[in-house]
Amino acid sequence: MKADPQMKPGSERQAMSPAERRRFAYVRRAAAENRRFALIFFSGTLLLLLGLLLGQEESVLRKAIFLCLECIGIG
Amino acid sequence: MDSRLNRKEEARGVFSAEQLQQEARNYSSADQLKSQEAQWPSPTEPLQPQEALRPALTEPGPLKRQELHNPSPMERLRRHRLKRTLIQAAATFLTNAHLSGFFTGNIYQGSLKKICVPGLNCYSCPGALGACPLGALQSALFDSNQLFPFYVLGFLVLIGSLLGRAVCAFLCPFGFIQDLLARITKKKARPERRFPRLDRCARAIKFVNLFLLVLLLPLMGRWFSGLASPWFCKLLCPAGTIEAGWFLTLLNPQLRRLIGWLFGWKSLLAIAVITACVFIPRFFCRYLCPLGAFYAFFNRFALTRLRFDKAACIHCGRCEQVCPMGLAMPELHESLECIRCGRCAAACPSSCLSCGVKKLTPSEAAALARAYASER
Repeated sequence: MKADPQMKPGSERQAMSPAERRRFAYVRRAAAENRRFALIFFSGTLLLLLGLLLGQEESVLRKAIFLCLECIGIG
Repeated sequence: MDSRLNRKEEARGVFSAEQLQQEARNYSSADQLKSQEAQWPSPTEPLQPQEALRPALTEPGPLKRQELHNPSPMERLRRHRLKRTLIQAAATFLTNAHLSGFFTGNIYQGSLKKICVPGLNCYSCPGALGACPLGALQSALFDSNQLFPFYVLGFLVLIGSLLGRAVCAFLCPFGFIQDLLARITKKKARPERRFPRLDRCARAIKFVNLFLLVLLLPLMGRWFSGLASPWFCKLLCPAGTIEAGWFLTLLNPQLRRLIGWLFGWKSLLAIAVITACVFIPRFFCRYLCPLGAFYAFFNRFALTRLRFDKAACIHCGRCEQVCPMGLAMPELHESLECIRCGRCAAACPSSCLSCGVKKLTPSEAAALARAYASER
């Protein structure tokens, strides 16, 4: 929908037809869901890459290859 | 008897060739015969109603064909359960593919253990190929050489953003064990119905486990060396006992000599969890699992969603009956407790619930399509 320069800001939605308003609501909700997912996904990817750069997977390996006596109820 | 059978067959409109010949012999004039023959069905006519009900031998009958193309909710639920069981079995096998460890009593020590697995699987399990995310997180927290557990936390956030709690329903080996235990008996205790307030309070325990045993106490181990331990794995985790403790103590006599009160406590706890899982589906997931508590925060944001179409709901209550987490469906489809198993969607007769990567419910999509079409 093209913006009318003579209209007040924020009043575009009132000028929409009901069908346009419904489409606007659905698209906005889908876009908000996409944004939230993208933010969390890329945060996780960034953390993971940072961890790999710092070599933290080696410390995970060092812990995992030895028997964890506490985990099996002995230590 | 013969006359009664003949009258019945006449009423149904079924005539054999012999009957037709007999009737023809009974009539003297050709015109009468012709008028009578006009009423009798010819061999080329379509099937009589009685014969149409009999299923054909070479192709599926009407009921079978309907079942294939438009299955009933019970059939959909059965197929969904089979599919999910296969996925769970495959995930469990891939996570614990070091099968020789179950016979030798040695754990896998290869480089694949750098990779965390998404579900709860003790890395001391003889078959484990990957690292347990909870154990790795706890050890990273009390390791003062690491500023912050970027790697483990990043992995958990990534998996959570993609799947949310669907990990519990499809990828977690301990979830699979619980589902198998739940099939032992159909008699189920329903604590969410009998003791709703107690059930709600008990569900908060897993969040306490997460914050206290998994995050806070190991973190304090950086400053107080006595606290530098994986507290959840040490005190509570039944997966470690069932998958690792029992196998390794059976196969290693040296370990058997070291058994103390902690092993007794953990074994007792594991037996209690196993017994509870038989009568309360997903008992550990509902009340105790901190990994499920972590993924629960991603339920609202994850790519895998449970969609509910309120307009299409007929309020039959089947979703609530089949839900393994005992949720008041479908109102709680976005709840932290939902493990996205999809049983509600499979059982729903009006298809108002859908589980997967979708952005709009069917009625929303239809309304959107109408909105677009009305503008043309």
